[in-house]
Amino acid sequence: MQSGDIDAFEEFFNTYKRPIYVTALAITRDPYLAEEILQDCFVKAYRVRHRLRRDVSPLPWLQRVATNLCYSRISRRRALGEPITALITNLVTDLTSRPDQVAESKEIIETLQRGIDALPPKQQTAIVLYYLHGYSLAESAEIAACNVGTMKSRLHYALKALRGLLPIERRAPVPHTTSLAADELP
Amino acid sequence: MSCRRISRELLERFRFGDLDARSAPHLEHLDLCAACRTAVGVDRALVHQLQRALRARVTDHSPSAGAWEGIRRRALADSPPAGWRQSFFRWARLAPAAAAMAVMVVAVAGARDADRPGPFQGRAVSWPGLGFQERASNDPDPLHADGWWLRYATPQAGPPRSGLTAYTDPGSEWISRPVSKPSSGLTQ
Repeated sequence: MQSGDIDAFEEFFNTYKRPIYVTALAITRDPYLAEEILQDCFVKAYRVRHRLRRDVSPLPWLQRVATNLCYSRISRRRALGEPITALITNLVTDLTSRPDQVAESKEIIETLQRGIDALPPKQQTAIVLYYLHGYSLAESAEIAACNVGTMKSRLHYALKALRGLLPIERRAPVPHTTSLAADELP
Repeated sequence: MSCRRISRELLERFRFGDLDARSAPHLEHLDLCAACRTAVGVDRALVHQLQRALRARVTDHSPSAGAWEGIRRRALADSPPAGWRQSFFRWARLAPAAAAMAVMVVAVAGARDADRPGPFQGRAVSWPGLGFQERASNDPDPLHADGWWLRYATPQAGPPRSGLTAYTDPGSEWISRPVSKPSSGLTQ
């Protein structure tokens, strides 16, 4: 691949296209934009193919390139004042749930979708890497080019922001004391 | 340890899978505190719903069949922009080969000229009776740029002897004529 064999590069693309596309789509929520980012990412990889190391997976580097491309596209889109793409509520519903629970779940998912869109790009990337891809903290931090503490912080603030969007009754009460709650008294 | 701190640490440990032996006091507290149980439960539910929301964003989507063709076209069309560093290092890699080539060219040229005398050096013979000196030389000759030629230094200015295809060097009154090779009669 490093010698520039385009067929070998196609195999490389087929191996890594899915996780890169998923990252771009999860952050941008726009399939066309995600595919554009996918192409840009791999064209960049082709240009620097002779510098790609063979002893480590190129995936973290590709993810980093993709997330940086997402940052720039998102900031451009926000700067242009483009309206947020219509919500995609492709729910994976539990058919055994009660209808009221399904409705509630759908509502929560929609709320979360809006909340994810409103997060700063770095926090979006953090939750996509950690909660969608399942990368470890260290891997996520490496991709995002930050340290583990910063990654934890981004995740913390992202969850805090999303939690604030939940209906009041679904939020946890803020504990203040170690004393037992009234309903726990014997 | 305050309930708020325990709650914060518990949330972090649950979120990042850091539960270990050091978490025993936290778990004991969790067993007693309904508020913290609720906080952790809601946080875990939030993460669960967040993962569902994220998966919903990408489910049923995949790159189009034309994605690779677009990349292929751009990869083949876009020659990488040659930055100055890249250009420099590319040429730097060729430097040893270029130096070797230069040395070889000089050596070959030197070998070809090895049997030629330098300008007006050696291979000269005087002909006192004829009043001139004969030298073989490979000096540049405006009339005969190639090959060997002879020069005649005449003690007195005058026209060239008859039969000589010669010219007169105005600076030194040398007269030259071409020869196929140095005369064997010439001596050092």
